[in-house]
Amino acid sequence: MLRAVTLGVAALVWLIGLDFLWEARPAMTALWGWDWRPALGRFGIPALIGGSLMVAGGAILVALPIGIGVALYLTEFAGPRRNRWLQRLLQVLAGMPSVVIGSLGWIYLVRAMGDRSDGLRLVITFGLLGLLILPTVATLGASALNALPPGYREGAIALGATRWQAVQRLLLPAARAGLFQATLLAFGRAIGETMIVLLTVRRDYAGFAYGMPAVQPVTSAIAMEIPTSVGIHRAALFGAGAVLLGLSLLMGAIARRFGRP
Amino acid sequence: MMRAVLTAIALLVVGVVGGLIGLVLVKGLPGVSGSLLWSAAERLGEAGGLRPVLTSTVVIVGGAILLVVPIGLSAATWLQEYAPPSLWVEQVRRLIEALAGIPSVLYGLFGFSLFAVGLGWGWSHLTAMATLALMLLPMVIQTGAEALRTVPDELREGARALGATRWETVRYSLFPAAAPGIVTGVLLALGRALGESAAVLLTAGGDLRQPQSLLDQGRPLAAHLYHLTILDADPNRIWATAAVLVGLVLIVQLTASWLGARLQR
Repeated sequence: MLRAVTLGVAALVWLIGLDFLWEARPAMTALWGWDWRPALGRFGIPALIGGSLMVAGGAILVALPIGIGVALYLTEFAGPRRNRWLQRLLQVLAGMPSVVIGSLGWIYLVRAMGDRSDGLRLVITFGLLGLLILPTVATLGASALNALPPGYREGAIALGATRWQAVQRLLLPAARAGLFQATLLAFGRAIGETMIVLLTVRRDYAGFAYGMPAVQPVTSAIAMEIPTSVGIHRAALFGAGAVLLGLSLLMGAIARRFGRP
Repeated sequence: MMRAVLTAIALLVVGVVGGLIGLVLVKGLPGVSGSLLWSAAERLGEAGGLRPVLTSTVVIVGGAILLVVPIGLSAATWLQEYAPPSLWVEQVRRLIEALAGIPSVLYGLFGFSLFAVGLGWGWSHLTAMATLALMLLPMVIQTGAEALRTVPDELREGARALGATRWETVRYSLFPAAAPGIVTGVLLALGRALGESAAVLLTAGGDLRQPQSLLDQGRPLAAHLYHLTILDADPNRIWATAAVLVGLVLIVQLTASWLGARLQR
């Protein structure tokens, strides 16, 4: 009984993947263009995947330096008290519903700065998404640095290295597998995140059918368009979902491989 | 020099996060009142109160937790106490780990395809509840298995020595010992369900009438906040709604970490 339940749960991964592929089947041949403009009947899944990778990449560029900075502060400089408080704060941030961040970002940044520039919207999206994945980078980064033997630090300092030299030449390179894992997991969270991009990326892009197609990630396209989609449009959305599923699973698998030394 | 730079980064993060939460609570809490919480919604939620929204939240989140706990704990118990150490069990573990990495919007898409269209439940409380339960499964399984793992082996051996069957050992010896850890995991899942909007947007619909049955559409708090934002509603109303949501999530989170801290002592 317990075993059947467990196996059923594990089979869910396959079930979800097969369901998406099944739903996507009417559109299998028509989906490979670099153009996603439903109003024109163009359903190029690579355009959405490109949007996802671009948005997540921007978020990583924001979160990586800040997150590793916080991780270094936690492991190298913060006393136990500050360490505890900062970790707790990161936990609260990690538990913050993303719709709250997206909603405030929309009111204070996107709307406040006007509606003209798609580039500006994109930068705002990078920043908000970076904030969302910051706890992942910082906490996993800190635990990677903490896992290093204390002798590394002490040895480097004893040899006359400054703190910065020890960090830069020894600690960061030694912890690179763990830091890479943290980056991958954060990237995986960023490509899967929906609410922030749904609120900050252009919602009315279908009306821009004849201009440049706006950047649109898979997640917000699914959330926005599924309710009104029919036929090949819906199939294409499921196809994009299948690709996103594959990407997330791949990212997780690589990250786990780096987790086991 | 380095110390100064890193301290500045840490302070920046503290400022942004503290500012975010402070802003929501300071600007939002004054707008939270009895009538906001208890009266019916009017004009797409731009006026009136949150009663239908809170009802849907309680039903969907509560239902998801009721569904996920028995299934999740069964799987956790099997993995931790019954599963033989073998390669295929390792594969099963890996698949469940993989489930944890699937984005919530894809759970929403799957729930839409299977429950709403396939089983004909439409956009409804029932669909959203089942979808959230699937989304929470890996979390409940992993925290449950972890809680059972930390129970010392003496308890297992002692119970077996007294002639208890394997199930009796689990039921009367291990579950009570692991209870705080299990409850912490369920609370974390509860917090996640409260804040989830992507999966809910695809499965619950968006009605603001007071729900009468599980097959009615509904709009829980997080999804409502999204709708208010894209409607460009009165900012004070958005703040108040965000404050209710953040307040609930914080209460759940603080309870979980308080329990977790007690556990470590």
